[in-house]
Amino acid sequence: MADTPLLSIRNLSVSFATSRGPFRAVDGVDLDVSSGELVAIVGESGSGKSVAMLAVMGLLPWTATVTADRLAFDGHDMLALSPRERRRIIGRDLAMIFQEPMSSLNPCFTVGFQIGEALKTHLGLDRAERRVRSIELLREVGIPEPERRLKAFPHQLSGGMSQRVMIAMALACRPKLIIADEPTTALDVTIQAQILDLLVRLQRDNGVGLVLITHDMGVVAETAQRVCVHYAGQQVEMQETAGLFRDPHHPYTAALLAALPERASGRILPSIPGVVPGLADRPKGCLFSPRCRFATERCRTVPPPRSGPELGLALCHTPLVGGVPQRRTQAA
Amino acid sequence: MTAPVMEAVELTQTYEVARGFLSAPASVKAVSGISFRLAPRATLAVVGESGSGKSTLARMLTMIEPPGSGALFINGADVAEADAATRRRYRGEVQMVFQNPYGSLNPRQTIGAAIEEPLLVNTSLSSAERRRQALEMMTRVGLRAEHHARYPHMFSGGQRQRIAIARALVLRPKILVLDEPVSALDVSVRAQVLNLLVELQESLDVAYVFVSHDLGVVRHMADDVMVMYLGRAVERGPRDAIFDAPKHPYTRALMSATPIADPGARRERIVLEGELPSPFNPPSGCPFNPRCPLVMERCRAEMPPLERKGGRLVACWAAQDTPGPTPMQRQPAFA
Ligand SMILES: Nc1ncnc2c1ncn2[C@@H]1O[C@H](COP(=O)(O)OP(=O)(O)OP(=O)(O)O)[C@@H](O)[C@H]1O
Ligand SMILES: Nc1ncnc2c1ncn2[C@@H]1O[C@H](COP(=O)(O)OP(=O)(O)OP(=O)(O)O)[C@@H](O)[C@H]1O
Ligand SMILES: [Mg+2]
Ligand SMILES: [Mg+2]
Repeated sequence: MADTPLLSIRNLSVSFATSRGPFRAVDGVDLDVSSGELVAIVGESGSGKSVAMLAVMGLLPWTATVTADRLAFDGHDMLALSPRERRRIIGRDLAMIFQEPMSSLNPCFTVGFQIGEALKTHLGLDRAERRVRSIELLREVGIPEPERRLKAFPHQLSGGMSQRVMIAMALACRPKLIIADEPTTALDVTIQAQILDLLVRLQRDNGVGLVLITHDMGVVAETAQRVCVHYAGQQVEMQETAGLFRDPHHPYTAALLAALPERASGRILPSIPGVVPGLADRPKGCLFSPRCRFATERCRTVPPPRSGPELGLALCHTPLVGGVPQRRTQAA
Repeated sequence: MTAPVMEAVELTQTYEVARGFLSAPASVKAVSGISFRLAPRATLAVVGESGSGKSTLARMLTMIEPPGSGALFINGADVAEADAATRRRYRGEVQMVFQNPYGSLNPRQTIGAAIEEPLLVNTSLSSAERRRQALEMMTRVGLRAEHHARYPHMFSGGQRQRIAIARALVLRPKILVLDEPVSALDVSVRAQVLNLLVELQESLDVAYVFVSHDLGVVRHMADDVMVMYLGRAVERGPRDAIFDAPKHPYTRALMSATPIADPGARRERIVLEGELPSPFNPPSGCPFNPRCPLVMERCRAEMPPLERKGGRLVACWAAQDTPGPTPMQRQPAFA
């Protein structure tokens, strides 16, 4: 069992029924995460990072159609679970820190009540035990005077505090896998460092698997072992972290790194022209081709193949090496 | 110096918080004694601890809440003394982009209607003209015309932030207060939005108060930087002075904790020890003293004033009046 990944996803796709027909938000994504591993997912806003992970959790609305060749967590086929079995796993072994803490906390209940619920449902703790554990959790995520904050309602907390309450809730039942969707965006960097230390410690010492969705390339560089890059629902590159920053193989990854203010010299940053394709103008070939500075005629008409692991599994006709597009030796 | 478009004088805000059944309510001093001047077309970045009062300050600057005490001047006029009509005009001139783009959008209103709403309330433009301006602003922030009739839940976090920016800009305000405007955005959209803000600042003469945790972005955007801790400004000055030679130990810790987008970088972090202070019960003396590596006896007894030292204002007994940074010990990152 040792090297079976904790989470294993093959060819995951999610479509939403919209008034203009189906919209494919996630398109053939693969991902393996083992115990004690930290995998980051980065990519364009709207590229389906959150939707893919919500699909794993079974938390998408009914307008979504989820298909996958495999969607397995800890030996369970997540697509075949009964709602009851799912409720037993989710929140206990598999926890998610949601992107929008303010809208994920229930405004009608106190912080203490909301953390206590999970402890009651999954661990059967009594009232006194719940209180002790809740205070311990709030302290772990760096909330001052946790005893007092238990009585606070979400609107009385600052953005960063609600985010930490969400994190405390996710950690409550000591999960095996944590999916953290932008867990530190609302936090200042000293608290971010503290939360990341906590997550990295859980991953390294307790063997927790972590999926970290983030836009912060600094956080990726300092915590992740592996990085997946998403664009328009597709996974366009996957590499171990050092390689990705040193030599990105997909032109989108390269453009992303070039747009970092830290790497820019002038007042205007090198951003990627244009927007992600919509339903109406989805290109026939590579989805990134309308915005790619290396695109050729072939890129515009033929969907790109998946490169080998030596080229970061780049979904590209002419993957980059040292910033230079490589012509594939084309089989006749 | 040109006359400031906005001036804050000793702005203070206190909230009462119920503490449960029998105990008396506690008060939280969310912001105390914040002063600054914002020149036309300048950018003041506000950084600081989570819960240090940045959003509260932003709400006072945008006249969403009146300050508990202190004064706010817009174009030299005291807002508290303005009549209702003038105040309404000021509200049009100072717009805000909120920290939580989902919460600030009405789930039952289409994106088009949300962006047109400020025009509907504040102008007498025809509906066709409102629509045209809304669509133009949507394109400028990277949204598509087909998004006009959609509802907020159909957008990703980053797309919603662009909607919020379009909505705030559609009235062409003179001052824009942005509360974490780009923290939900991906790197390439963030670059587009920052470029857009730079471009609009030059073409429309907007001044920005820019709240952000991202010091890379702050360094890129700001003319002046204010660092807040527990409701107070602990350091304020020109961007380069603050970044090149931070004097307050909290500023130093903040800068050293910023992750660097380079896996090979060897770096050291100043790890802050000690509990985060409680706003209910702030420590005596300097609010940073329980976590400060340079703490001295005096820091526990006396609040340091915000004084000019080495080309910026800093509130620290240990900071020296030299051009260089305040020395401190450091630790390796994620040891
Ligand atoms: N309920 C829904 N109905 C229709 N479309 C949806 C729905 N939920 C999400 N989408 C669409 O699916 C796409 C993927 O959204 P998702 O939230 O996964 O993006 P993301 O990669 O997490 O972006 P961000 O970085 O901004 O959070 C977006 O284009 C979004 O508009
Ligand atoms: N309506 C309110 N009632 C009671 N307390 C409040 C209220 N609004 C804010 N506070 C408190 O005031 C302090 C400052 O909050 P504020 O939201 O301004 O912080 P912030 O600097 O924006 O933090 P963050 O970076 O986490 O968003 C916090 O302690 C917060 O709990
Ligand atoms: Mg998302
Ligand atoms: Mg805030």
